[in-house]
Amino acid sequence: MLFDRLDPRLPTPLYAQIAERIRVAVAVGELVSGDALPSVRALAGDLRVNPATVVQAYRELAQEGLVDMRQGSGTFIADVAMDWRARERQQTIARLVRELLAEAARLGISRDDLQRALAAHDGATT
Amino acid sequence: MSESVIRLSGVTYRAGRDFAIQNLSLAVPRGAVYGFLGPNGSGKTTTIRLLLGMLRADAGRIDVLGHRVPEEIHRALGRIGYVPERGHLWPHLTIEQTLATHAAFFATWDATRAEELRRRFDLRLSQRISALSKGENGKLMMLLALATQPELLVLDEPTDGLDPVVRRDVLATLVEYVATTQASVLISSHLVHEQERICDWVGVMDRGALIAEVPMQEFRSGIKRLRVGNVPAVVDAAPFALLSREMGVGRAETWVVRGWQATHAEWISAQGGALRDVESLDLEESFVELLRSGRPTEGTR
Amino acid sequence: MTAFPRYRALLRQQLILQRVDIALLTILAALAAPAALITARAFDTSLGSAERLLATNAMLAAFSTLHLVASAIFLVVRAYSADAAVRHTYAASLPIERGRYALLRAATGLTLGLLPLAGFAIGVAVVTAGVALPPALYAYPVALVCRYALAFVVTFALAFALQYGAGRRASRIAVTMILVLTLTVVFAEIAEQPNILPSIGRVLVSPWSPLSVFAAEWKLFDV
Repeated sequence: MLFDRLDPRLPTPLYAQIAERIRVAVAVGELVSGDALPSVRALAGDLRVNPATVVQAYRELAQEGLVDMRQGSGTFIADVAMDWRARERQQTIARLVRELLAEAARLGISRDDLQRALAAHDGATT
Repeated sequence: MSESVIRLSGVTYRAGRDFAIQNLSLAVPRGAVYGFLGPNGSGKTTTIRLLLGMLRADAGRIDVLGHRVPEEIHRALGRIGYVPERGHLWPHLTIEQTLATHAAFFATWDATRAEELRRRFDLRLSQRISALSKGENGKLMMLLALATQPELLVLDEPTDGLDPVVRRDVLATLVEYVATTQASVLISSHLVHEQERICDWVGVMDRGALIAEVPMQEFRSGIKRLRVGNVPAVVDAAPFALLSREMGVGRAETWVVRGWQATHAEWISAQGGALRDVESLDLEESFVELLRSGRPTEGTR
Repeated sequence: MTAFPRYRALLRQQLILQRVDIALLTILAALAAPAALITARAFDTSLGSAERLLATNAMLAAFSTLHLVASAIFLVVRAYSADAAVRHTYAASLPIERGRYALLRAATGLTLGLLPLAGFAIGVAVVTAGVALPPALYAYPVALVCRYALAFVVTFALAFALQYGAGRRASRIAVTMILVLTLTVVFAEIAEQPNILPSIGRVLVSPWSPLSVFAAEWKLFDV
């Protein structure tokens, strides 16, 4: 599992960044039902973060019903219905768009500028 | 009040003519990973040496793992893993001899764990301490501290001067140990971004005094940079602490505040000000602002 | 033997640290008696065996005194310096009371002192082997070694108390003073000149002083 963009300097707390990465992974199918998440010890060690941070992330996901924390065996992705994935995917896309537009607004970039840039980007990469 | 593994009350210590530490009170809660931050010369190492009984305080009381320091510290030392700022091992011994000596003194020495860590850190038994590189020495000291299965780890700049790869290794083993044992940790380091990741408590020292001691999340979430327009002439009795203010264009200013809550936005409007932006600061910036605000000549512009 | 793990660990550490010192001291100790014999031209066969042994007396006294002072100083100071070089941080981080740690250091120092002592005993044995001792004096080589051992313990205890009681600077001053005093006595003996510090010497070796053991003459037999 890649958490390479985990950054304590971002305003989002670390546990939220970890939880979000897992949500995204499920949404895009990187993780499926039954997959085991790394143990708290292993993930905390890999990321060099406080174990409580990992626990908090896992707990939040467990509360959402995305993972099961099984005493003694570990944490696993719960049986999620296909439509949850799709829903989550839609929500993620919507959030990305919101964030992009908010950032653009903050910097004074217009909608048209954005759309032009998108088109140019597509043109350059095809 | 939950138990503290380290507690200093009104500790004073004089080094030479000046006070290195004056009336210091500090508490590390059990199970916490307590990050000790502060500029060079702020007294972090002195505090650590005091709480381990290596220096004798002139006044105040120190308790570590329930034992008075320095009278009974030898009883607690068996449960403490200590990594000092500088190399402290006998240079003429090999790693193997060093491990054997350490094992003879610590009843809780876990030889299996020591061997595991030795392999992981790629340290050879035949290496002489005097011939170790800084990274190897750093790894060995962490190995010695962890292999005794301590309840409390006291680490003084454990990753200072280590290259990034070694630093990751050393921190990973530390974090894994904490995850498994819920041991308490006091870690002093000026590498603020590292502290931000692994600590859940933060204590900030400046010029021999502890200027902040709060849970990490509270420290980070409480310090914000505000962009305020239409700043009122007098800013008094604010519900937050104004650490610094910087003049901008017209009557717009940038403030750094501590103890910020969302509801304070209303207070600003009530004063006639316009809150334009609330920005989170990372630990390093928060720490710098806190220090600057403590120095009257530099705090406000 | 699995008892006293801490003592054994410190003993091993000090032995590794002082391998060379101890080897040198032991060799010198073994050579003390033979050297004294040779220096005093005691091979002069015109003299009777008893007179020859008497002639080695002053030499042996000089060598032995110097040697045991040097041994004690090396054994105490080197071990302490190894700790002091790292600001005593490692020793202070060990779960043991300071007093007990010092006691262990005294024990390891004395234990290692057995090696030069053994060397001395061998030297004395070699010297007395070629001499026909009168029956009444059979025990004297043993008595000599015992006296040396006692003198060593006393010197070691003094050096240890100074070093561990007062630390580096004080011990350096004291060691210098002791060495100067010792050298003065030694050269006075060798040159057969009057000892230039007689009054100090008399006080130090007076019967109630622990140093009185030095006053016993280092004869291989009493006259």
